[in-house]
Amino acid sequence: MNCHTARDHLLLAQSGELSPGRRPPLDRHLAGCAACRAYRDAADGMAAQYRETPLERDVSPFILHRIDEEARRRAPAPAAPAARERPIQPGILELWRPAALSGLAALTLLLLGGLLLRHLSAPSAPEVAQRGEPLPSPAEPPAPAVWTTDVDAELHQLWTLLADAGAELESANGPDESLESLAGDLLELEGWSI
Amino acid sequence: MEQPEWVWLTEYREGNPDAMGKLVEHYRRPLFGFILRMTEGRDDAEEIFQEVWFRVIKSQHRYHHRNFKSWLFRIAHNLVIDRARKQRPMVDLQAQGDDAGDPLENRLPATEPEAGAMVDAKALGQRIAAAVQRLPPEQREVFLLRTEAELPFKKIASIQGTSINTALARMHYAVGKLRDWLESDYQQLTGMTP
Repeated sequence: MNCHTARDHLLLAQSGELSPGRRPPLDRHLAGCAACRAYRDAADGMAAQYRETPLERDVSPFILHRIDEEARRRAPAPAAPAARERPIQPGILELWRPAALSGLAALTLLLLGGLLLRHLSAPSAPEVAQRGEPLPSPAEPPAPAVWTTDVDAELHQLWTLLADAGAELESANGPDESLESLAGDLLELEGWSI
Repeated sequence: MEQPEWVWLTEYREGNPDAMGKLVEHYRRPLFGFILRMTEGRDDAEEIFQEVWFRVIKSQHRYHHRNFKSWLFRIAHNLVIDRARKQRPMVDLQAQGDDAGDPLENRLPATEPEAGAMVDAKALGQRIAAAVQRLPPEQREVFLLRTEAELPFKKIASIQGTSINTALARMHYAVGKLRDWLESDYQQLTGMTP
């Protein structure tokens, strides 16, 4: 390795850019070349001495203040906190939740019971055929909503109560939502459009 | 480990204006030292220093690379170049000379201490700084970017728009000239040649 290459590698080593594989040849050259060692010491020494010397002038506080003002003027707005849910009025929730839960539970039981009874009491298709009555077409939509039984009226009244509860009950989760969904499904089965 | 400047930049983007002040303080000495040595006077240096940070503040949201220091000094380099082009061109110490072809730099009074005066480390640092001012702009910039900013030669070459070999060569010339100009100072201080 000649001195020109060694001094290039020396500068790269000082800046951390010399690949590890090139370090041993450089070290061997420096071990045998006083001129390159002197060059290394001079470069290191002058740089260190220069850094330790304070500047004859410094930035004025006025300029630092202007920079700070500009930084504050253009600072991005802090990230908005996550949107909070509409505050639930504990009073209304406490009032409606127990009633809604009870009503939904009762609704579920009534609907299941009603479906079961209807299924058991309704004539089967063969029986209808034996009587000579026309069989209902499977493609026919269910009959429009007509209040024919007290159970249906109670179900509709309960569903109306649930709809009026609105946002307070929308915040409910877990079993409340499950029961509400079940109730909706059962009413749809009965021909109600929810 | 996360570079502190990247942490502060992220904090600023998240809405903490104080974080930009930390960045400014962290780079106050190296950046102002670089600009001061590359410009003619204090007013220019402070104006450029302020403008560098104004541009950082304005454009920080578009900067997504991790090498903030390199970006910062590139802005400073561009502003120094622009300022130099707008002002009266500086005398090129190496280009002009007398009839004997002796460059101007060799005919300027040398900044040598009075005969018999001892040179202490602090004075040596100041003389190094004065000697750096005498370097040609390209060599001076390489020396300052390596010494003040501690940038690797790869980044220095990128900022100057040249090859790494050219950047290394400019550093060699700078170190060589500084050794020549400061040889007597080093002899007095250490009894050794630089």
